[in-house]
Amino acid sequence: MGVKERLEQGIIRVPGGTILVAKLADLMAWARKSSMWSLTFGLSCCAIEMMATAASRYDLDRFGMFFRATPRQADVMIVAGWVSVKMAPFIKRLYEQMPEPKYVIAMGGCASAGGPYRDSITIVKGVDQFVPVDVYVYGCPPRPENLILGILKLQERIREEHRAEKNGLPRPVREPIIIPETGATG
Amino acid sequence: MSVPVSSPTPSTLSTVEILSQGMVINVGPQHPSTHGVLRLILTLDGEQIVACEPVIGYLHRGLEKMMERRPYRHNIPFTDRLDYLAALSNNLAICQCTERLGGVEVPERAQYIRVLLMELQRIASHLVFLGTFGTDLGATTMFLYAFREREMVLDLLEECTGARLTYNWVRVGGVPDDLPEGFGQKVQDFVKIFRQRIGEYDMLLTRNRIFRSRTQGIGVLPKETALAYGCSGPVARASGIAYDIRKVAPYEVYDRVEFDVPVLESGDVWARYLVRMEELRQSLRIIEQVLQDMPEGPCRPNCPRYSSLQLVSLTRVWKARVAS
Amino acid sequence: MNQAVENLLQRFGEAITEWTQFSPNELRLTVAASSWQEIAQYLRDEPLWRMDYPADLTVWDTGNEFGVYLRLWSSVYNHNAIVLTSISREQPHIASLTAIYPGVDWHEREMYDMYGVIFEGHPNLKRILLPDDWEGFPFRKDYVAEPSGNPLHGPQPVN
Ligand code: SF4
Repeated sequence: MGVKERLEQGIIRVPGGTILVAKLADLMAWARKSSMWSLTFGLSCCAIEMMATAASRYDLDRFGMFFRATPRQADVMIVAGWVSVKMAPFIKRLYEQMPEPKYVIAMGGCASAGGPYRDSITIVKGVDQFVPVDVYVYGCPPRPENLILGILKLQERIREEHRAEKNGLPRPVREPIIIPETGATG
Repeated sequence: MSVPVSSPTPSTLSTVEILSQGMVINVGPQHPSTHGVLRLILTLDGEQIVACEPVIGYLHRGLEKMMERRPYRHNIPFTDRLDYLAALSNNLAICQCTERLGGVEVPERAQYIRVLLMELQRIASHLVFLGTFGTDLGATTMFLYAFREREMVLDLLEECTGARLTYNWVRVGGVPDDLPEGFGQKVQDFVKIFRQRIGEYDMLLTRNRIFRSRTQGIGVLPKETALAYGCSGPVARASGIAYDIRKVAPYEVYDRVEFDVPVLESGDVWARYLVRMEELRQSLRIIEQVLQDMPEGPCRPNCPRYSSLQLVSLTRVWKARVAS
Repeated sequence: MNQAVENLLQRFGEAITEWTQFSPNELRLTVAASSWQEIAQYLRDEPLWRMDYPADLTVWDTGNEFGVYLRLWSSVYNHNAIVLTSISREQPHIASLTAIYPGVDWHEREMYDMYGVIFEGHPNLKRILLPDDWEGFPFRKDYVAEPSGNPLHGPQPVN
């Protein structure tokens, strides 16, 4: 297989060395997917799990995830917790302040669909009512492993999208990614 | 973001007194130290904050309204999510209320298990305080250290309850199941390790001069103010109010274990930090005693499952009993 | 506590409609709404009481009237007191205690927010938890959690 064909399939590592050979589009896609900065958006219980995911044991830094406090430097918003009617306008505004391309992860039952607060008077039944959601991570709260899975899936999507864009292909359709609950929750 | 304000007071900010050359800044509800969404409307005079109006309610759920419609035991999971850093303590609170109303006896072993889990929970909760407090002061390392130990506690609690954060593990009249096998040994191992780790925290923060100068004498809450505003917990104890419900009105088996309640007078950030650090040590003491004294026996609830209606009538009976 | 209770009963007489002592340091009083503020002031200042710690203030709806509940603690004597009163649903007015216990400021605002009880004399009585433009008082028993009242509501669960 010639270099050209191999390049079509992705990045080539030159054995034993520090050299990568790749198409610029691929390289950029790889860089973009590996440096997702996320907006700290801790609302409630799920935020604690999000913090735990970022902390020592699960170490989100491995995936190039880094929490930023301002929307202008963020690529992805992890909505972790329940969203009240009073809070919703702020989330929408923060989402609008994020630069394109931007992604939203709805972490936990509350952000996905209202969770235990389905019949509460003030809780919004899922953030997808006012911002588009890319990944739903189920659980109450989801385990850190599940959140990481969601992030990895999102990275895949980012790479695909970027590649398609650079190669002049149509953008893949954005189907929501759903990470089901596994094992014991919480 | 900021709106410079020249006199007079704008009509929309009724409670903020605005100085003639003041500046009003809005912080939040999303801000660098979220989690916990809170909006602050600050009035500045140069570098000094002269007035602050907090705006809360961004997480309001109307839980009371939801609980009204459910049988009381269905409400236990909601209490997990009140203070999710100490879910078990909230479970205990609602169960104790129901137990008192129904006059339910809790088996002795269950009481010991509860105290054991509560103290583990306290450690986990205080560690989140420690980690995020460090981060807010710029000592990000502390966050990683504190969460490292917190994961150890969570492992223990997960082994016992099956969940990492929202345990839902206290039942009216007991606990749902006994401790897993070998749990005591694991807790003892943890206690041993954690004793040393507290020394590490001391090295990182307590003896750190920058940390000291950023906390000592800062944010002083005098005793009178703390009382008048009804402060509780470590905040009150750091301001010299010797109030700990475990001593004032002991529940479960807290009257059978020995521990000290740290009370400091200075009321500053430093005192609040020290009180919590001391509580970590005291929790370890309690855990050790509880493990030693824990009797064998049943621990599952041994009472009927009251429905809300039955409970209401029980309340009446109880009221009549008290009145007579 | 006995001497203190006696003094209290003598001082307020009719205004205290009922009282129960649960244990040596726990007392429950039911009082007339008109002397709500006066009694709180007395409990705080009287040397035998010194109830200087407002632990809780809340309201509940019985369907016919609103009950108001205040829990106090004395840091000097370690006494607990529960003070209860009731006010009518049509005219839910009661004196504010913010001047006596600054700590109940937010409690009173919350109760205004949820039940629409007007605390007279409160310096800043406005909504605290709900958005400013919320209609109605959700914790009243007759409040219907209308999906239309909340524009972001999805379908209601089937109970
Ligand atoms: S999904 Fe569960 S854990 Fe997450 S915010 Fe909602 S209630 Fe809390």
